[in-house]
Amino acid sequence: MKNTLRRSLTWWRNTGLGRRGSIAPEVTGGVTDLTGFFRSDSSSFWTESASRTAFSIPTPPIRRQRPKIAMIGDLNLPQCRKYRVEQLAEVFAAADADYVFSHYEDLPRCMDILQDATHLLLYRLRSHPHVTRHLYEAHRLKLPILYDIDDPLFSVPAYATYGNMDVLPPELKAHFIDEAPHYAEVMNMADVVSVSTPVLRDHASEFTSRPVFLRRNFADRSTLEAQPRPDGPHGEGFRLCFASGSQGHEVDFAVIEKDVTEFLARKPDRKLVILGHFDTRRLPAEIRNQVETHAFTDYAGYLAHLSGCDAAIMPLADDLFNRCKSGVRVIDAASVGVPSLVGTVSDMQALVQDGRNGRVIDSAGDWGAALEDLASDRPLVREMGREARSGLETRWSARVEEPVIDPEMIRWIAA
Amino acid sequence: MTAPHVLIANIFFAPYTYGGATIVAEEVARALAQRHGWQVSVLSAVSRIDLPPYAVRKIQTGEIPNFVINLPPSRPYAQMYCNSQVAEAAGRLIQSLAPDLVHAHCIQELGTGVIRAARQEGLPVVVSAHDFWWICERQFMIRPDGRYCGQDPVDLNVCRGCVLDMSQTRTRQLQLKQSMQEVDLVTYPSEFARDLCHRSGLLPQREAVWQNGVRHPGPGFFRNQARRRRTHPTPVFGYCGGPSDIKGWPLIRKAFEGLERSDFKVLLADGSMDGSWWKDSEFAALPGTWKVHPRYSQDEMDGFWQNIDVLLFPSQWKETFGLTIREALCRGIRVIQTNSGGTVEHTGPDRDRVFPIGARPEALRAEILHALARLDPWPDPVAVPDFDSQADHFAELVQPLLHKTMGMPTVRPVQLARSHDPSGSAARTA
Repeated sequence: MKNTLRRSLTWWRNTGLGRRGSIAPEVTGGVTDLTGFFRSDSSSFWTESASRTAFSIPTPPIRRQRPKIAMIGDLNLPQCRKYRVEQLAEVFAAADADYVFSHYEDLPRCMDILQDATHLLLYRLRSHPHVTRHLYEAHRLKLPILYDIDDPLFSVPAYATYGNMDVLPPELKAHFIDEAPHYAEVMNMADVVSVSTPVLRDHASEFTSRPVFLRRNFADRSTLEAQPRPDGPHGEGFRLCFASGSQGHEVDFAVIEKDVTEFLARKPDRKLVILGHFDTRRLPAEIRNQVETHAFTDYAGYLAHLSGCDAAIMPLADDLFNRCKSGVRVIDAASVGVPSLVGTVSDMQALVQDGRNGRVIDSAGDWGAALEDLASDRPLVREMGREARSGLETRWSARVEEPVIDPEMIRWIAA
Repeated sequence: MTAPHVLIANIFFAPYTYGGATIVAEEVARALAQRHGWQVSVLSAVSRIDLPPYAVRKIQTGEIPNFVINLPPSRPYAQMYCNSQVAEAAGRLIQSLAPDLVHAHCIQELGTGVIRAARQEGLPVVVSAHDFWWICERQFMIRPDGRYCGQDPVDLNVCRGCVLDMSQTRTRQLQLKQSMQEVDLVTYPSEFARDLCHRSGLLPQREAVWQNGVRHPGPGFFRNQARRRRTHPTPVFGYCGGPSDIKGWPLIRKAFEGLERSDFKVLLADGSMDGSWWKDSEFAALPGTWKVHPRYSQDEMDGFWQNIDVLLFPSQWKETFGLTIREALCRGIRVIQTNSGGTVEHTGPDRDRVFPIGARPEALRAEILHALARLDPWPDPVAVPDFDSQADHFAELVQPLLHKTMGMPTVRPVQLARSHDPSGSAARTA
C-alpha cells in the first residue's frame, strides 16, 4: 500500500504542471556547448556513442539517396556569399541535388546540416578549431569533401605580388601572406577542389594534388531579376562606371587613369561614377569635378547606381592575384544592360565578346579610343548592353555545364 | 530494380536498446537488411541536455544508421502524441533519405507527426501498435496506483480517474484514431492486442497480426543446457521482470516465502541499465538459493537461459506479446504464467495451467511445487518464429504497398534459408 501511494503521488506531482516526463530511462549528457561534440566529459553524447560502439559510421550515405550538399563556409562577405554560397542552390537544383549551408561558426547548425548530407562543401575556410570539428564530423559520417575558393588566399606568391596591397598598410599584406598556408591546409584536407576561374584552377593545382574543378560565378535568379533602366542612363552626357568592392582598386584604376582623364577632359558632361571603396584623393585634380562617388552599399543599391551608367570600365593591374579574378562585375553590369570594357587580365574577358556585348582591350590596346568609340555611338552602346543582358540569360545563368561549371564536378557529386 | 528502403521510426534503437519493442525493431531491421537486401534507416529518440532540442544526430551500431532526435526531457501533453517539431525533422529526413516506406513501429513520444510527414511525401505507412499507446495515454493500461485497469473495450469515461484532463485525453484519442485511419496497414503483435484495439474503436483501413519473433538459441545452446542439467540438476527458476508489482514480483516473493522446501535455485535477471533493480533487495530469508544475473544483450541471452529450467511469468496485466516467454519456450524451458493477454498465444505446454491475474500467492506456489515434483521437467523446444521469420512476414505484408510505390512485381517473396532454427520447424504463427 505504501508503494502504491508513493507511485500515485509521484505520478500526479509530475503531471501537475500539464507536462509529461520522457519515458527515456535517463536524461543524460553534461552541459556543453550544445554540440555534444569533442568534450572530454565522459557523459557527452559523442563519448557515450563511442563507448556504445555507435560513433563510427562505417559506410557513406546510401548511394540511392539524392545528393544533399552541406556547405559550411565563411559567409561574412556579402559578394562572396552571393556568388559562391547562395547561388549554388540553383546549380544544385538543376543537378537534382539538395543544398543547405551554414556559417562555420554556427556550430549547432553546422552539426545539424551534416547529419543527413551526402557531401560536405567547405567554402573559403582556413584552418581553425571549428573547421577541424567540421572535418572530423564529415569524416565520421564518411562524407566526401569538396573545398571551394574564389581567391588565391592559399598562395604566398599571389599576395606577395598583388599590386593592390601596395596602397594598403604593409601589415595587411603580411597578414595575408601569413594566412596562406592555413587556407592551403584545409584545401588539402578535401577530396576535390573547386575554384572560380581557369587561372585560379591552374594556380591551385600547384598547391594541391587534389582534382581542381572550374565553377564560375554566374547570373543567378536575383541578378536576373534586376532590369536595365527602360529610359537608359541619366542625362545627356556619357557616364562611366568604376566599381570597387574592396580596398586597393586605386591601383587598377591607375592602369587607365591617363586614358580616362583625357576622355573626361574632352567633354564636361562626361562623368566617372565610382561605386564603393576608392580614395579619390589619388585622382588627378583636373577631373575631380567630373567624378561622382557613391559609398559601398547593398547589392540592390549598387545595381541601381550601375544601371544609371552607359558603360562600366574594369581595368586590372597585371599580377597573379588579378589574373585569378572572376567576371562578377561584368555579370553585375550586364544584368542592368550596361556593357563592360575589360582587359585581358582575369576571367572577365570570358564573358565579353569584343565589339558585340562590350570591349576586350589587351595590354597593347587603346582604352581611350575604345571609350571615344562608344561615346560617339550611343545606339551601339545600347545594343551592346542588350547583348550583354541577353548573354547572361542564355549562357551565363544557372546550368550544370560549361561555361558555368565543369560537368566533371557534377559527375563527381553524383557518383 | 533497387531493393526497398524503409525508414523505421522507433522510440529507441541501438545503441540505446530499451525494452522488447526496441529489440524487435532492431532485429527485424537487421533481418530485412541481411536476408532481403533492404536498405534500412531508423529515426529514434534520445533525451539529452548537451544537444539542442530536436537536434538530429546520426549514429550507427552494426549496419543500420540511426538518426536520433533529441526530445526535451519534458514536453506539453499534446507533444507527447503529436509533435510538430518531430514531424518537421522526420519530413526533412524523409526528403533526404527518400525511403520507399515508413514503418512507424513504436512511436510513443515521437508521436504521429512521423506518419503525417510520410503521408505528405506520398509514402505508404505501416504502423505497428505496441503496448496500448494507441488506446491508453498511460501506454500500458496501468493505473496510477500501479494496477492493471482491465478495461475491455477501453471506454474513456472510465479513464476519468486515471487522467488529469479528460478533454485532453479525448482530443488525444480523436487525433490518434484519425492518424490510424491514414495509414496503409496496422499490425498487432497478437490477436488479443488487435481485438482489444478494435473493440476500443481503432479502425484502420487494413490490419494484420504480425507476431514478434525472438532470438533463437545459438549453436551449442542445447549441448550446454544438457551439460548443465546433467552436472547441476537442481531446478532453477528464472525471473526477468524486475522488482515490479505489475510484473508480479510481490506475488513471487510471497509464494516463495511460504514454501517449505529449498532444493532449488532462483536466478533474477537485472534488466536495468545501471544494475539497480536488485541492488537493495535481500533474499536471505527466502528458501532456496537466490542469485542476480546481470543485464544481458541479445547476443548474451543464451548464457542466462542455459541456466534456467522454469521461467516465472506471473504478470499482473494483459501484455500484448511476451518476448521472454517465447525465448524460454524455444529453448525447452517451462513457463509458469498468468493469463496475461497476448502472452498465452503460443503452442507451448502447460497452457491449461495458466492462472488468472490477481490470483493469490497460493496459486503460484502450487505451480512452483508442481514444477518441482513433475517427472517431465524439461519439455521439448517449442517452435516459435524467429526474427528472420518475422522479417519475412513483414516483407510479405508490405509487398502490396511497395508494389504501388516502387512497381515491385506481385510475386511471393523468395523463401530464404533460415539462419538458425533449433527445431527446424519454426513456423510463422501469425
